[in-house]
Amino acid sequence: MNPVGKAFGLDDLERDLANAARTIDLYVSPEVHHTLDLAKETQIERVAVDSGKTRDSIKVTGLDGAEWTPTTVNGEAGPTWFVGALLEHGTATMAPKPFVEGSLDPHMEDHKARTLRAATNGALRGIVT
Amino acid sequence: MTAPAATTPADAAILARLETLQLPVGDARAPEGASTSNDPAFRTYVILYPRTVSHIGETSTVTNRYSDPILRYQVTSVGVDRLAAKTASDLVCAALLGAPLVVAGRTVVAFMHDGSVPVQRDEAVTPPLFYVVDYFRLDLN
Repeated sequence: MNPVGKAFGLDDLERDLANAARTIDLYVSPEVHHTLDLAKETQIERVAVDSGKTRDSIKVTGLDGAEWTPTTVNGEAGPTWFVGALLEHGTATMAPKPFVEGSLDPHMEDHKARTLRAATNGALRGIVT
Repeated sequence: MTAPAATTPADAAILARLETLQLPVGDARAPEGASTSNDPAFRTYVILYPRTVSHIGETSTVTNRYSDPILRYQVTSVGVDRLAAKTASDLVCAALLGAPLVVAGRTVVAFMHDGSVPVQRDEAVTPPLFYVVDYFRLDLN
């Protein structure tokens, strides 16, 4: 134990910040999921109309398809059906019809505001409790 | 606040750079007279596709939201086999990134390779064609 640290209450501060860090993810996770849901809706609007199977396969998951948990703060929205990739990138004989690229853009301003608010609330709640 | 800048000068600059390749270049479609997959003298070609434009760039200011647009491009390199497609992709990257890009009326902040799709086989045609997709990002101000 560092007596100097104890004298200045650094142990308490360290504990409070650790609590805050754990709580932040719980608060931010739903906001990230909400943003990805919005991106998913944007993709559904943009995907070529003759690709219903691709549209139905658009999902929100954690990174690389991982299950979403209450503390997940990194995720992705996109199609799982292979045609989605062909539409997005095109082929040698078919022009790309991108619908994933840029699907987050219309929602980022709102996302930044919501996640900042959630992170602040989470940090304060973590310190108070 | 000014209006968003036209993106056609940037498209033209990239097309001009690709045309130094001595390969047929298509502008958002296969080049005029492009080889078909069963052509014994198939000639490798590339196609430029302008993709999304973010008029509001990451470093745009509050007083001018359109000051720093971000443009994304895709170049699809098409060959009769894996090596031809990959070689064309390498040539595309060298041609586009080998010297600073100049866009009329704008300052190029950054022009970079922004990912790729490795060699794929397009079996929609017989015999199949091979292609590589390269993405590029152009930051202007």
